[in-house]
Amino acid sequence: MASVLALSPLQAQKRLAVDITIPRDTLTAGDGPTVEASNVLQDAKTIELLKSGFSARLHYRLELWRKGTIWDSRERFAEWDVLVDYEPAQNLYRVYRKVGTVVSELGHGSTLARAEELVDRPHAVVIGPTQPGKRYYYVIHLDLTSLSGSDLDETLRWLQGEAAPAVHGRGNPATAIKNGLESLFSKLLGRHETYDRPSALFIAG
Amino acid sequence: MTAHPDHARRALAMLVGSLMIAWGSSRAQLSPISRAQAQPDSAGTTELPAAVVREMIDRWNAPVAFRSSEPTEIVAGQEVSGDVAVRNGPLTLAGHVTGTVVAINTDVILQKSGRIDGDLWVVGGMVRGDSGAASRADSGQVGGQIRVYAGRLRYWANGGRIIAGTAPGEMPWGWIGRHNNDDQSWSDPLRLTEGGAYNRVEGLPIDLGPAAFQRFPWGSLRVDASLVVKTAPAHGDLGHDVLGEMRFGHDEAVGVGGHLFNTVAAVEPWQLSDLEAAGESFLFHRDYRDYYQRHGGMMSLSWYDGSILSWTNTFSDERWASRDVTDPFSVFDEGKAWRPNPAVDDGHMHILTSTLRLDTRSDPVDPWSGWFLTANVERGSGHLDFIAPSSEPRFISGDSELTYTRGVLDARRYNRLSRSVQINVRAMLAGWIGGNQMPMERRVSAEGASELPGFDFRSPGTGADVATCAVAGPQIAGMPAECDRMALGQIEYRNQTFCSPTWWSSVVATIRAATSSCAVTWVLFSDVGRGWMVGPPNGTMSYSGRALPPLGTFRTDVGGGLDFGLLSVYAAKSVSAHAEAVNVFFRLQRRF
Repeated sequence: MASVLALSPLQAQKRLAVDITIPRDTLTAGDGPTVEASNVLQDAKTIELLKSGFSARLHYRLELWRKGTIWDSRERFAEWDVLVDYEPAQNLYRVYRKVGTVVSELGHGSTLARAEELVDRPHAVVIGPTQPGKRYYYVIHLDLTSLSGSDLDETLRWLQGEAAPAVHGRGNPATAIKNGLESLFSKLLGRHETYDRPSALFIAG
Repeated sequence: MTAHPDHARRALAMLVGSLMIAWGSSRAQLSPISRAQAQPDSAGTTELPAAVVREMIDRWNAPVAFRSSEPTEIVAGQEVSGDVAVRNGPLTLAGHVTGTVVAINTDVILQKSGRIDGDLWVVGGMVRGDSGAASRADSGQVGGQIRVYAGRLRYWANGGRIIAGTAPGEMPWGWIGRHNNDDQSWSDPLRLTEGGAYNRVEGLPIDLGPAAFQRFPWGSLRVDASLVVKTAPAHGDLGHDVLGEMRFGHDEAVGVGGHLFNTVAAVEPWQLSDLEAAGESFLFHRDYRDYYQRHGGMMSLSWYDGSILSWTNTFSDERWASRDVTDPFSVFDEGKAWRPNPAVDDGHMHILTSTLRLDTRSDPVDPWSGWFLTANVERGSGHLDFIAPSSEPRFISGDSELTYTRGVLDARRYNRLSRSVQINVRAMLAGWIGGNQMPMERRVSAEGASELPGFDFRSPGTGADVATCAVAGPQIAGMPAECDRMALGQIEYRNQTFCSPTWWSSVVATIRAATSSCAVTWVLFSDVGRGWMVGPPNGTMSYSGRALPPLGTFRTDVGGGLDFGLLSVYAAKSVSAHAEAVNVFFRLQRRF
């Protein structure tokens, strides 16, 4: 039986949310939940930054915690990233997922709704409990950031075709000054949101 | 309280004007050619057909007359006999190419005098005329076919060749590589970064210079060479910070390093984060740290076991000197005098340190379980030219030799009790272990927003000052930390509400929206701590080397607050000194 824990978004404002769907009440080591985000691209500032060429990066970390007698212990965790990029010249949104060193394009489209659909695509993670009979739960951490100027240069360089750029920041001092100032003020110019949510308890089988 | 525009402009001018410009862009130059007729044929697609990808890769890797990976210009009158391949351009063509031109992920600017006898292939870019627009009227001539594809070619470079797709074992996302520098080589010929926290002694220190990280199969090499420019410099104040480390191994590694420095260092850097210390100085004209000048060199030998355990040993030869306050800009209270920067002992020292660090936290920014331990032992010996004033007599004088040993132990344990509750504890001991009395830049204190927030910072009270160990009498300028030892204990209870704020008021929801965090955490805490001198016991400030002061003499406070993620607000009240008022304070990071 599925166990779903979902966010109740604030009324009249679609806030970022992540669902953790546990397939059964009892899981084994080879099982795992499905993680599904929603309303990732609904924030006005995120949209504005996307349209201005600042890619949005979602860093996920899913943790498996075991209930203890006094305190709980983190047994395992998994991490992955989703990148959303907008190409103004093409009016095209591209969405990528990176797990370990494997990068895959989830798709592309010309509307924000299509980008949201791609970003919200559920992701199954194999990260199951190892001690039968114990109680466990998952905790999902999500970091949503719009990239800083220097990060943006790196992203653009890769998106322009250099998968492993050897040099960046080259050019005249004005470029260095620009990159440095962008880095110094990137937190003010960009966007950063965090999201944390535990799942319901379940038993290890 | 208002900011003064003149001061703001002065600060900005100093920031920009302090940067040294000694660079020039480079462009390849070739000989000019004459005109031909253009026949554009653009596919206008965003995805590259596989055949096109193969064709472009083959054309780039084939022998060509000229190949470039930077902005390139073939000037009028120049002739290239053969093919031309360019990436990371643009290619500006006013001359003559007798072969084919291939442009990857870049534009081709075909000027009126430009001529290509063969084909023109462009992927990931456009063909533009003299005016910069894609116009035929002011373009040069192409004798063969023109093919333009909007889609970008994905490739990775291997020596002079390019290979389609993603490099095996490489993370294609450079920005992730930069957040995890150990995994990917990088270099910055000219990097501009902040060199430390904004402070009342130098303003904003700015590091300017090259940096590089190179990964090898056997380990890695990191080099960072910076000129340190200050926005509020003293006369002739230009520093340097040059460091390098070679590591043998990756996850488990041995590192050998060297460091040359002429920088301003904080006396007790562990009390506040750089961001918080800088914010207080820049915004509110309050600098909670004290500083001194360090000029010298250091060698290091380290052992690393992933990111969990490290052991670092250093030996340095350095000169110490006092620094006066300059007059850096602040948003509020600009024009008011800064708290004086206390004098330190000037001299020439040899410093030997050994530091063990253990970090098993589930997350360094928001830990819910694990240990964080730092243990440091430092032995210093040298010659002091000048002894800084202190409220108690010093047992050394100017022009004297000095040898001391100091230790710092900071132990933190994070414990998750349930999905939303944690209890965390911290114990810290720091100070003199043996030898002569420590120099002033190594003395310690027990106060501040991060340690005992229920007590005002550097506030002269009545009776023995167990925070800074200043004794009654003429106040020393800047009220420096004077304790030989300090002890601190902290405990906090945290209860996080997860993103289900149906009962929050709109005001709290607005705060949460502004701080960009869905969860809100209630925090209750208590702290206990004090400093003391080591010497003949007198029952108040001085205790023997083997004794701990009675717990009843420790400062104690309690408090609580809300942690919104990027911003926390707390209130703390002293328990041991009832006259102290409640302090309300903000933090940009966890308490510990």
